[in-house]
Amino acid sequence: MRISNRSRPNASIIITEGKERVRNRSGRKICRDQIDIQYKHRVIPAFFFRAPTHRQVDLMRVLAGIAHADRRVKRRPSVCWGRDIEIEIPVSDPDFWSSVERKLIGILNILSGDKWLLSFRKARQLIQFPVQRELEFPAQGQPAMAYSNGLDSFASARLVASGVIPLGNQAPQRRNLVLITTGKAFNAQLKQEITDFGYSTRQVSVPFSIRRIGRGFELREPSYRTRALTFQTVAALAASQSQSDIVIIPESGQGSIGPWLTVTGQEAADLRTHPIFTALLSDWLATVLDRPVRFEHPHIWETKGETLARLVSNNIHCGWAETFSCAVQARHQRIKRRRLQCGLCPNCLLRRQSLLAARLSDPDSTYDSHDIYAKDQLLLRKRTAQGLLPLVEFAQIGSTPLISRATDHRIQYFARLVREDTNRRFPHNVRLELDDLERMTNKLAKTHKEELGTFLAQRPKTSLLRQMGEALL
Amino acid sequence: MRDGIPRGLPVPRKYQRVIESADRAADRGTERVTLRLCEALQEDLRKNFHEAERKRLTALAAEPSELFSPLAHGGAFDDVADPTLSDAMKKVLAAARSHYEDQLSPKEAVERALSEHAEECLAARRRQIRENLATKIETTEVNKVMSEYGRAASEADLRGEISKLLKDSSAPSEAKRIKITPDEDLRGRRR
Repeated sequence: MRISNRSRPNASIIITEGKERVRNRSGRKICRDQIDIQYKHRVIPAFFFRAPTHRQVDLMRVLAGIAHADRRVKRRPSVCWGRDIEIEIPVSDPDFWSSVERKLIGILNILSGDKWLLSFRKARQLIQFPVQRELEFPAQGQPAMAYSNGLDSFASARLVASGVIPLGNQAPQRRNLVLITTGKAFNAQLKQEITDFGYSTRQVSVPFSIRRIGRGFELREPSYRTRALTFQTVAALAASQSQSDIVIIPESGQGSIGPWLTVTGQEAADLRTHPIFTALLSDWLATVLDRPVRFEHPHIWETKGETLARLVSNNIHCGWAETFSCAVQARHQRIKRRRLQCGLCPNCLLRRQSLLAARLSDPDSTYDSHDIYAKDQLLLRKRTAQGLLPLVEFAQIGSTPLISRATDHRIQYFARLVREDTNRRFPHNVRLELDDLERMTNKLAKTHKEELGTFLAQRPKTSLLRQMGEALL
Repeated sequence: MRDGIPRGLPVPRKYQRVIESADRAADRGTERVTLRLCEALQEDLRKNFHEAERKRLTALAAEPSELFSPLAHGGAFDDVADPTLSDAMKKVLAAARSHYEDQLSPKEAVERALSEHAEECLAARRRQIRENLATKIETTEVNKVMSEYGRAASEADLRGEISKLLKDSSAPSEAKRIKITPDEDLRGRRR
């Protein structure tokens, strides 16, 4: 059957084991386990101090399968945001996974804005991992954090590990951390560092990878919202293996609350680092990992600039310049020298605004200078507007009666969820009454607006960034 | 945890017509912009609530239902992970329960919750249109269109649109494909 370009995208994907031959229903797509989804055998020991249980291996398969499907099925935003995705995954204990599938589907639906359907069948063979050597890292109760090497995760890891900020209701104390990273540098082996500040960090990567191009497919969907599920679940796995219940979400308020409040067009609300998502995930993981998991959002009511200023005031900011915030791939870079950040995407603009707020020197030469766009004014305008608008929109959540009311409705909904959370899945600094939630959100947006205004005013008068920003703000 | 180059989402045709109208000097300040905005909103609402959900909301508004009883459901936190409900439906149900608890009748509670959802739709479309225009035209022009959009949104009879949505709950969710008639050029403008 030919699928029209005007219909909602849908796909059915089956994960096959090894050379298993399956009766393929019409149009069903195949994803080969251990080929299209690969497990990093040299990274696994960093997660599991003893042989991983079958359930943990199943969890990796489930996450990898979801990540594969999310990137494989292209959205059709001219028709609608959502997709219908059906996926069949082999697991060692289908009964258990069927019992937790309802909550997982709920999380996936709310996270990606799609409609997911999961089914589980009995795996024919169990994945064999190399025999574990000696116990390298005894469990020390280390909290874990998804570490993107951006400014937020850098600052949060330093502040939490140095004991500058407390986690939950506990008194501030120094902590060793497990950082979950991506990138080839940490794929081959785990890396442990004793820092100059008296704590250690252990960097491990996600223990599986998914092939971008395979037999009859290319993973091209860029939205990939379920990456939040992958990273936070893997962080929870690392924390639980270390006998800790805590996963730290390093995102600032601009990244956690901002995208959720400023939904654009037909897209689904972005909840990737929002407490609504982490509260639901915590609920689900408690069953899957068989131990409580608590997601802490220590910076949710701070701007990135305020977090960085705290880092500077405690004199633990050295090395910040090595962080990388840019969302744009290297192939789009105009200046062909060393790898630069673009300076115009929302991530880069927020970085620049925040570094200025924290009074850290951030010369324009750090960025893929937009002077070179001089010949292409249309492209410059487009990139500037697309980078600036998300920041402007969050600064203006109370600017017009319509926007202000829409913001209030969202906060009221959030307050109701918090109030009805009888299991206390939301972190303590979010368990607030409606008035306090409104006050904190407005304060955050106000500080963000001031920081953005200062950043724009500091640009030359001829700068399109300044002209456009000041006219819109 | 990064997204790549930001990509604008395409503005639906009905909202393009709102922009055209808001940009046209002859239409500015007239009811025409508001009417087009209401048309576009109605399409959004129909897409957000499919037929079964609209019927359910209509039934809920018609008489006090067990759904409003705090004992009959696990609360908004349980609903939020319910895979059978759409995201829009979850929010509307939570808001309707709040209004019902604040002593509104079921009909008023559902209608007010839907009006609030309509406002969120209009705000999301405003952001999209603003971003889309800012990539193409001068910022002063963008602001003119947006202030006209704001006026039309404030004058729109949201309750009327909600009544229309609930009254006509068996109408199809998806708008029919627009046919270009000889009276319209390819931009959808009447000759």
